[in-house]
Amino acid sequence: MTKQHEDVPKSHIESQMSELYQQRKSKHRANSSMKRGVLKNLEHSGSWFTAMNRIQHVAIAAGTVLLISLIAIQLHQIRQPVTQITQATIELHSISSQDSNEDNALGQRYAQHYQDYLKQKALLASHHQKSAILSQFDEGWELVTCKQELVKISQELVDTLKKMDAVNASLKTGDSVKITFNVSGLIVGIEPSPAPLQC
Amino acid sequence: MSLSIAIRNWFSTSQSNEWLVVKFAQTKDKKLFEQLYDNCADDLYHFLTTQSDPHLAKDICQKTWLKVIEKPHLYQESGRFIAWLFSIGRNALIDEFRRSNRFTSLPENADQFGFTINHELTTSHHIEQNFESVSDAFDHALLKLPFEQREAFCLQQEGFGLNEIATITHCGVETAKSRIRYAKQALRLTLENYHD
Repeated sequence: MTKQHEDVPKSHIESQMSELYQQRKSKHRANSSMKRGVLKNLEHSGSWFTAMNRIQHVAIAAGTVLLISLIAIQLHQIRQPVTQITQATIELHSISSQDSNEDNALGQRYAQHYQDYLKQKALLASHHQKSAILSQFDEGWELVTCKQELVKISQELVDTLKKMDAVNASLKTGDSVKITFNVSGLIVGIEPSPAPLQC
Repeated sequence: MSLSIAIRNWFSTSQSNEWLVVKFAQTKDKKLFEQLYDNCADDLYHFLTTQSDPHLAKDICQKTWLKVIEKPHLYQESGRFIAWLFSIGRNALIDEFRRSNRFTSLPENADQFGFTINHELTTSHHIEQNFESVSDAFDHALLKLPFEQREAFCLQQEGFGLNEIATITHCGVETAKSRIRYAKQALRLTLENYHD
């Protein structure tokens, strides 16, 4: 009840405030001289805008005309029937020998590279490791590879290799070994293979 | 917002300010501008007069309208034209105050004790001066309000929403709200004292 009682004058005063504000506003209005001044500026700015607008319109019109002309020319060209057939006959008189010389040179270079490749391959074959199984231990060693190649090593060589620590002394018959060859294809070491040989 | 404006324009017989400014930006038609000016000039002038003095308000009005003439394309269709116009006017006024060192913004916590200040002002002036009419007392009290409170109150009276007031005065919505509250409290006190 009390709140309602307070709210009534509050809203009354607020509406009074609005009324007084509007009264005050009616006393302070923008005069006609201000409007004249603003419109003068508009006229000045408007003339520039009109000029620019005209230039813009002319540019757009010119661009449109140009575009239509280009399209028309293109269409005209497309519609024209193809009446002229251009023929060109090529007669072959001879083949220059220079090409065959170049072919020969290329062939020679190819053969040379192939020979080099074969040499490198042979060298690789001679200097590599082979896996084998130690099959005989008495009076020299016999090593059998997966390709059934038998490599016989004399006892003297075994002893020599042992002296050079190139042979593992603990090897026994049936062990898988790795035979290491040097560039010249000579055996330089026999070591036990970490994995058993499987052919 | 722009869609709603478009729909409103579709059905309304008189053109809205938003439609007028957009069309004016496209055509620079003098008649459109005149219509726009007639719709808003009094509101802007009164707001600026209340915030400064008639002479400065006139200058700022000219500058504001000049900007509308020169750069109408800057108006964003997402908001009301009048809010944009008041923003330009208010910014120009603040710039002018800063140039002449007349502008002293309220401190951060001014809104907290703003009412106390206003209360003192209104009561003391009422005691000292006998106004001929309630209108005079109101005018006097309004002009005695701190700048921020006065502008917030005026903008509300001009029909702006809290979001628009906050945007125009570059403050938060809550700040705008409290400024209006303090301004109204001070004015109410003046009116009550006058009636007593």
